[in-house]
Amino acid sequence: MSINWMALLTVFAATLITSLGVVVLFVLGIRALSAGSKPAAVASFGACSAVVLYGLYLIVGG
Amino acid sequence: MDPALIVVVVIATALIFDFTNGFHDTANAMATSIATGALRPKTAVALSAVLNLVGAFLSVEVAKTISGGIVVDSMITPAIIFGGLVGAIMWNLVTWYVGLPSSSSHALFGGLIGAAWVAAGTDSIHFSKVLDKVVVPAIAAPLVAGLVAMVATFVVYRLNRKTDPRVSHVGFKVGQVASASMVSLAHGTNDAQKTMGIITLTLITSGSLAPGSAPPTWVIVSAAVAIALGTYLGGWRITHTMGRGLTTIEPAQGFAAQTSTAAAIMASSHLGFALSTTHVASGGIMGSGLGRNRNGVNWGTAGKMVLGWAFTLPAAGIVGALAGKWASTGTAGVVGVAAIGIVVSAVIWVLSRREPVRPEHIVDEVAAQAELHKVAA
Repeated sequence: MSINWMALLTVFAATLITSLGVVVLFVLGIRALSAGSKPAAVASFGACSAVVLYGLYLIVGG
Repeated sequence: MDPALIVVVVIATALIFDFTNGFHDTANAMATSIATGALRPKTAVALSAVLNLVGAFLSVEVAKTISGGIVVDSMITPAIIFGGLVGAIMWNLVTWYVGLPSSSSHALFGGLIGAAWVAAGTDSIHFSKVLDKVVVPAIAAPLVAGLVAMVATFVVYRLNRKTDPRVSHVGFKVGQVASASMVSLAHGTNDAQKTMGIITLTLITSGSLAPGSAPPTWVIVSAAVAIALGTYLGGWRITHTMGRGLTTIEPAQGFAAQTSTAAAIMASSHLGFALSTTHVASGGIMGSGLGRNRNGVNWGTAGKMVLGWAFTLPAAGIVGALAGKWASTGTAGVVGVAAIGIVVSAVIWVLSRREPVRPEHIVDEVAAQAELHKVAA
């Protein structure tokens, strides 16, 4: 009976980092929007989408 | 029975299972968006269906886990797989009727393991693989999603304090729809794979494919279409429980919960962990409830759900064992199992028609709930 703890840890780390990254960037975007700073909002939402797309790229790329 | 015929019957049954899986799991992805009024139920379900279809093409790791690891393919037959599938479908339909968000995946594993165990003996099951790729992820993944959702929700509320409520309300509704879409996509990467794995396993046991083969393209396409159709046509009943019963959800919270859920499922899919998307989604919703408010979870409902989860593997296992044993005795067995399966499905369908939960009912209740949130915000 061998449990692959490393793989579990990877799932945990990947979930934590990507979720927090996406969520923080998104909230920063909303803050920028409500402060009226368009460029900062666009940059935040753009970075947020980039994280998501990179994640998908990793999965599709195998 | 003609071996080619039984393979066709098993494939058809597997696709029906896939359909019920989509039917059952629409709620996971879309419950929070519907509950906060970010999407209307019909739009939510259509979007989810399309993304499930796409997700099914993204990864085949989970399919490989099922076709090449859980049972010893040289020891089991298509008839045994048929029994396991019927067990899984029965359990799915019963839990759907009762409105319990149990796991289609665990029903499938339970059915398959039960059928193989009784009809082909203990040696036909790779218990260490089952532990590593199914049981441990089953416990770990909802905890991971819950923990991450808790932190993410806490951070979101913290950072969102000084924003204009009108801007953030609209912003998070958009974010929620985007994250719900990711959950649907993630669902396709994990759940559609299970049917592909089963069909591939059937083809391997019947000798049509070499052991260790990846799913052929037609298998991927048909499984993707079946789950998308099921998603489109189903799920009002469970959406009801998930959207309302567990915890009250705001758009910002739904966004954090779903982002964590999608990330946890996709990371797991990538490593071939065949987990229950239902459990992960529920873990995410509960975790985010806690992140927002220490008393943010209805522990009574949560406890009932966990109990239902613990039941799924053994219950589907017993039905699968009986059906698998009978089906493996020959043609009469296969026909008998199929007949009982059809009768039970028909009875549940008729019962569910008697007191249908329609999209319109959900809209009304959800609209009322969304109003409450507006006042609170």
